[in-house]
Amino acid sequence: MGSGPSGWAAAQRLVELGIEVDVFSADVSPNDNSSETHAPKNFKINRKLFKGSDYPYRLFPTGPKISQSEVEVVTSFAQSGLSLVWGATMLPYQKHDIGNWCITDVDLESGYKWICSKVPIAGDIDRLVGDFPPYISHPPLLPSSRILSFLEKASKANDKNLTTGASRLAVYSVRQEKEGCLYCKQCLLGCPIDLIWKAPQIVGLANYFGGLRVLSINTMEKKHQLKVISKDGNVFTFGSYERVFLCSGPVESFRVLSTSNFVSPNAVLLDSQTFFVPILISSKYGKPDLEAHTLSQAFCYLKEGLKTKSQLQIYDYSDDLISRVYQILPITRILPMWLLKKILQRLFVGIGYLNDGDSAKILMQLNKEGHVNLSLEGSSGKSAKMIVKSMVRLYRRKFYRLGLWPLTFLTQIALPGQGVHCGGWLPMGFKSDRLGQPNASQGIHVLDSSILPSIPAGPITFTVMANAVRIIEELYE
Amino acid sequence: MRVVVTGSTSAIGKKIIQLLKSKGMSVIELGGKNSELWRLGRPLPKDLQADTLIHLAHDRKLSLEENNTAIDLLVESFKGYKILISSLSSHSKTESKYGLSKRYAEERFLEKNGVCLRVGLVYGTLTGGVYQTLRKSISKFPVLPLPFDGKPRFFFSHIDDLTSEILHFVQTKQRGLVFAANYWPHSLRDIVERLAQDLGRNCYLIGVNTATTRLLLKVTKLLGIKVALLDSLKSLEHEISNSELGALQIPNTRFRSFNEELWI
Repeated sequence: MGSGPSGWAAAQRLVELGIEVDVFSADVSPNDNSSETHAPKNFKINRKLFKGSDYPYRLFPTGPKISQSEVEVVTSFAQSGLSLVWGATMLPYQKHDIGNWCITDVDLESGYKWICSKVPIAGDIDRLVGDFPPYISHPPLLPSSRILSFLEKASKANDKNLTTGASRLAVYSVRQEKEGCLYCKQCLLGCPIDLIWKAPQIVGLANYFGGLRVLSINTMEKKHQLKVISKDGNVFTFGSYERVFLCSGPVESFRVLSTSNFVSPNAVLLDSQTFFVPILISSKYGKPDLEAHTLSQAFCYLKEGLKTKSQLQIYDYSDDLISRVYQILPITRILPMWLLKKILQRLFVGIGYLNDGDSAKILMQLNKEGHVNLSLEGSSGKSAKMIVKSMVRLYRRKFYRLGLWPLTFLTQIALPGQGVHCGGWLPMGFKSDRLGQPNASQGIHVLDSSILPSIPAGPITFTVMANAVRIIEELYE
Repeated sequence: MRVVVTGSTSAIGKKIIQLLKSKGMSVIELGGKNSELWRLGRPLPKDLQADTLIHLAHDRKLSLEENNTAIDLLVESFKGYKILISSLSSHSKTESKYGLSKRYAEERFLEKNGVCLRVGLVYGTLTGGVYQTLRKSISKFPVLPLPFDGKPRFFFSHIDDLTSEILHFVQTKQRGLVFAANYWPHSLRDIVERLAQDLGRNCYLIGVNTATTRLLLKVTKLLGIKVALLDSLKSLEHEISNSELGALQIPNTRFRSFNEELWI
């Protein structure tokens, strides 16, 4: 179930191992205009669109509904899922951040390496390698001169609690299978020549059943049947499968398992709190480059002891920032464009993440009608906001001597779930085994972020994909 | 296999000759001011029997026209497979004499189905080259000016990676325009600071801003001063663009990061 990064990785690996695979994907397409959009409305950070279309966020037109209160968990029913609109950051979790998991970084190694052989991971050997093994398959995207200068200064500062390095991105950076980056600054609008990796189409790889949403799984004599609903509301029953792999994201996985009575109808979804902070830079950094990429350019890890406290991804100026500023500070519309641009060109933009332990928690409930309600658990949101503020102050202290000043008063705190780093409601070693099987089931495996025992600050996709591959390989063995 | 190497007395030349010989290849060494067989500006001897030419020689004292004529003579007088060791300063915006002459050479080599390796700042176990000159300057002078505020970026090519890349082309005879360096750039300021630290020197660095550097270049041009250093300075004025870099063929060899030398 699912055609996003983990679904593609699982299907591809299974096919490679000679196993027959049927893939079910909701496959909401750009033509499905009738379905309701889920693109968050009140998030002050613009939601990325896919070449001008919001179809990656559109809900499936039929079947159970998802309602949300005080949270905004982003789900995708499109083929390739949220990888259509992601930031393409690809970094493994560092071993100290997964110290409480029932698996180790060594268990994940073969999964990381397999992904690395299939996905273009552009990056460089730099200070990050101390904590994050260099699973790199492509040369790095060239940094802007200002980011290069920042990274060089940060490297010389040699701060024990702040690790900085070049971003690692799933991008075809140089002319190889594809043309190579043109540095046209269009990344955030959707790369015009499709150099940003997205989960490849599964059609042709396995038996593909698009336009179907799984409602539930029925198990009889160790065989599993899927009850599915089509876009026009017809319900079918499919197959007799030995194993079912759920890769449809934490909310859909919860709904299916809960509807099928494999898990309780209540669960707590972990989130990595996301925030957005503009950073004023010293005039010594100079003007933005004419040619640049506009994805994340630098990763900063704030550490407490060996563990990561927060991760900040730094972006250089791009014209996209103008519309963001209009949203945050509508009064800026009165400024002439040249003046606004001049001001904004003195900024970097930081998108930060906290650990799940410091973030709000989301309550998922399945009601009697089979719909899912998502809401904020207790007062966890308030404490997360306090932590974000203290974290930004900490970054300000660290960045001061590098000629960077995070503008704390302009910090935007995302609603829980908006950062798309959610999961952990069915943790391995606790509510599921190391093969992602919920305790009450056999032959049903969850391979998406639902089974991560925690959500450390930082990119999540690489580890989710590597874990999916690990489970497939362990099962095969 | 017989390989002709021009500029055989250069630091890179010596290394590549050593490597080719270790692989059992027969090498004809051409170059050096006292070479009786061939000098830059003359055609290759007619009786020269070789499969491959590796062209490293360059004379900064020759004018652009003289350099171009030398390339024409060389290309026309050798019929086998040709490898040009070019430079990342031979990009489309270059105005330096060195960059322009390398660019012309690239055009001629590509016309004749050769390969051109655009090399960065070569470092490693070398006895000469720009990198060593930079090291020597840092260990010699307590104060160093940084043109263009130390912002020009450099890409690095480790000598061992470069020679194995050259060997790859000698063996495969592939064609194209290849990026023969590590992809992560370093600013001039960063390089000088790192080298100073490595040498245990406490250099005082003075950033000369872009306007002043350009003014200096104009004044020297008006005064008709012709020094190789000024041409190098001119090559820093315009950098190879990111898109032009991205369009180059990727190397077969994984060029090690300059960082790896420092941190790993």
